[in-house]
Amino acid sequence: MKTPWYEKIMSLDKKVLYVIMFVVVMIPLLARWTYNPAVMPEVKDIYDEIEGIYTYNQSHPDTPQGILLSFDYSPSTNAELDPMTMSVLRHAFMRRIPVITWAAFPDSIDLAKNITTFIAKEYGAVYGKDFVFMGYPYPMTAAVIAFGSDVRNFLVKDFYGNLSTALPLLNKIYNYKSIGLIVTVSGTSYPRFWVTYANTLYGKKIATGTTAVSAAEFYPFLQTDQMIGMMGGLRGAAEYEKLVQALETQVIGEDIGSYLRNLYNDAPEGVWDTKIYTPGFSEEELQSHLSTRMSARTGMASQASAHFYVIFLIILANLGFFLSRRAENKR
Amino acid sequence: MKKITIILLLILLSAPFMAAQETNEETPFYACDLSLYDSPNDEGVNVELEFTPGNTAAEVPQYAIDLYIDGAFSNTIMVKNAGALFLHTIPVDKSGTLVRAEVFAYDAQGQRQGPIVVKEATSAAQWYFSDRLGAFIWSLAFIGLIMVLIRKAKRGQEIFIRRIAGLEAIDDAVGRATEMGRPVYYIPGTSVIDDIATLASLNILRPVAQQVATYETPFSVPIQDPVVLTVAQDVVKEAYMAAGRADLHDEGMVYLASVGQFAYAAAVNGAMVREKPATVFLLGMFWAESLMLAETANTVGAIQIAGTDSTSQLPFFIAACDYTLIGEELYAASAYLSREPLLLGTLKAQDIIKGAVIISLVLAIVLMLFGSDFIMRIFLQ
Amino acid sequence: MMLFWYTIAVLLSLAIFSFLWKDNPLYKFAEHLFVGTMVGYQVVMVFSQIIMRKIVDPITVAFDNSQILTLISLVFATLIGLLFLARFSRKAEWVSRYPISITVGFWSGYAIVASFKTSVLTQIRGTVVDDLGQPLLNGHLIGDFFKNPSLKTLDLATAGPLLVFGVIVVLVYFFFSVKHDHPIIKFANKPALFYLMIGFGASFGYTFMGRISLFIGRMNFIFNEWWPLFKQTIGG
Repeated sequence: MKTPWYEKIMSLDKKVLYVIMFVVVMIPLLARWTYNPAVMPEVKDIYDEIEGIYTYNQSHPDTPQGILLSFDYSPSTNAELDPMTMSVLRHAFMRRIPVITWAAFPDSIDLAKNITTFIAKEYGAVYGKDFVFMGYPYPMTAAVIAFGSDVRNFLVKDFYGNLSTALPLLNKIYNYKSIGLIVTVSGTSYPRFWVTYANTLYGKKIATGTTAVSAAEFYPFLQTDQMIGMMGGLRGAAEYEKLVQALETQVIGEDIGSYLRNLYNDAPEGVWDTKIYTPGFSEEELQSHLSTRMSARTGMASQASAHFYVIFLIILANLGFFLSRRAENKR
Repeated sequence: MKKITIILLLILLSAPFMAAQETNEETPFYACDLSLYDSPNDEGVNVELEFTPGNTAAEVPQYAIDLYIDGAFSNTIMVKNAGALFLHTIPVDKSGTLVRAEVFAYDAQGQRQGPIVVKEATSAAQWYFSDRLGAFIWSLAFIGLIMVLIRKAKRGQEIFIRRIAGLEAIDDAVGRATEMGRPVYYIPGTSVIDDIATLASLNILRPVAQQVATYETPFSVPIQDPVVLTVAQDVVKEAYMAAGRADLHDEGMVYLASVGQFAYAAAVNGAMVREKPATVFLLGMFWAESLMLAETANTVGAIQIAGTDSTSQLPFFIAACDYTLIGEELYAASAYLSREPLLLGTLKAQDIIKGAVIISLVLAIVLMLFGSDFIMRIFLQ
Repeated sequence: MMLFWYTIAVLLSLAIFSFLWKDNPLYKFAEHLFVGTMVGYQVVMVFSQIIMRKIVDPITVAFDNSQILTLISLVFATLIGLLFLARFSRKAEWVSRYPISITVGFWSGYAIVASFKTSVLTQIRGTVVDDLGQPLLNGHLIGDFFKNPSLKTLDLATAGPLLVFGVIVVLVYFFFSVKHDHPIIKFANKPALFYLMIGFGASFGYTFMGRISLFIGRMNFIFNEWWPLFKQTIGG
């Protein structure tokens, strides 16, 4: 007897499904399709908060507020989370908001350092004045508590071995009074830890970027305003990327390539510490800096097609299941 | 003469009134309500300012509040007259700082008038943060309950816990494996011994191993962590001895499959494909390998009983397994089966607090419907 | 040089992906290489970022600045921390209980009230009122819906009651002190399961998105970073 089509579907080899998934993901990537996401309120809230800090700093140049960006993820989740950290850093550096960054795990130290300096270079940010990288603040809880009084007592030196008291940024921003927003980008449940200590005990505003795996866990904190906003998964990253790109067009202009090429032309000597980054972009670097501006939205095109494929499979499999059950009952 | 004197007297007497009237027209009245006080529940690093305009916006479009910190001028806050309360927190460096606020009014011509009000306040650190009183009382109550109930359980007093639905499936599942003559696999998660889910799983392993020993069913317990291995080996050995079937016990039943996450999944999958167990228990803490294990067990036709407290893996177990213990049900099953005083007391205390939470939630909601936030202020601060 | 390291990364990625076919020596090699590299990297980072930055540097700075009290507390704390190493000796294992009790005692005490407030009290508050202080069971919103029926007013009117009902029934579902044929437990069972399954379904969908994102990230690296570099270098 001929096998009905729905039973053939139910017994399809997994490897066939994997191959089709591969094709479905690759086509948008190779064709460089992009995805134009609608911006969700929880992502817009983070953007508005950072814009609020910029507005405050304009009217209080002597007592600016800074952003503490915590790289609470390891390289295994960098596909989803790197676009988030890059977009937040671009936003902060574009608006000249002082930034303190650090890494929560030993294997994320290099990742955090590289991304911070990669983006800082795009805006001519000066180490020690516009941004600092504090390395690995172990244990994290002690660092979070230390920020309540004076973080320089706990983080005596930065990642590069400079004394914290010798860094101009840390002489203005060394406790929570001068931190306008804490952004935690994490692939685990670290945001809960930030909410428990920094928000509950010190009343600081927390924004989070998470992998899609953990995103559902944090919606209760959004609802109670314990977190002011959340970028969930690659989609959240794509939305923030879109907002920052619109701002960049407004502040810098359409031609970011020219802006980057000319950024360090006629630049005075000795402003930028070459230990941190070398001013100037090679063509290779330029391409890299330009392509990372679209990475989340390019990925979302593949994401969308993968989702449609899986929805189609779910419908097909359910159809097959119900039809085979009906056929069995008839027998 | 008399008439002239009376007229002169009248003029003299009315002069102050005319002068006063002139003064009233020429001297405007500027008013406001200013309150300056130490911020409650902090380390003395904030002073609160509350300001309400006393004039209309037409009379005074704008006010200016000059702030002095320890006698030195700090800054000026410009407040547009919107007729509403204006709140501001003044940050200071340390406790004991004197803050002075002087209010000036800008009249309709833009002229600065005043100071119309001057107030002072000193910042002070509080030893006790009253906004955490609710959390403190709840925490004390919880800790107290746990201690009392653990003591009660240790004394052997009855603590009722209802039977968890998934536990009934364990008996059936082991029986099924015995009838089919195929082994039972028990996977106690892929986490370390410190993890609560692993401890709960090892507590369930004992009665399962005892039942398997009674039915003389082949048993396999692949482990990922070396410390968990030593504990699991002891648990299974004791279970077999308790069942009176020490002769059936084999050291190779509990073995270290692999230390790496996916290497472990690969090793266990390979074993399942070869031995085709009839029953697979997946109880404990899992990560990305969870679905791989559940799928392979499904492919070989095993009945699967899963349980984890990891919210990201529960959906996979619910989709792929026959029975799933969701979150706290794993701990309840562990307490129910093992009857350990520590587990029973803790679970019972959690239940009592949960009951108190439900009651205060319902009460708070009902009172809010009538416009009262009493429960919110006292118990849910 | 960049092409060389990128190519190694691509080959290792493909070796890991080969697991989809079946377990094989290439996959095992890639996994062991990963584990070994991670351990080595972590040892170096722990030494430079913890031992040097958190012990040696603060002690040196305190010594240089003649901060005697800070110096004494740092040295004392370091010595107590070193007692952890006593775990490796059977005879002296008991000594390690001191630093463990100090650490566990401090963190438990510090975390208890904060965790309770964060995870329980604030969440209960959030079930009664929204972030603007308006009750979630809001008769005005329900009245608004009947006055101006629309999807938006329906959403606003029902979101609060659905949330409140869901929280209560799910809390009752995980209540183990009462027999399961108690009327309240029986009533709450089905709605609670409904809410749980919707929640797990959302989590499932999100998790799927997360896993696909990681795959897309790898493919993006291979096809949009390595391949153009490879073409450029080989093509000249």
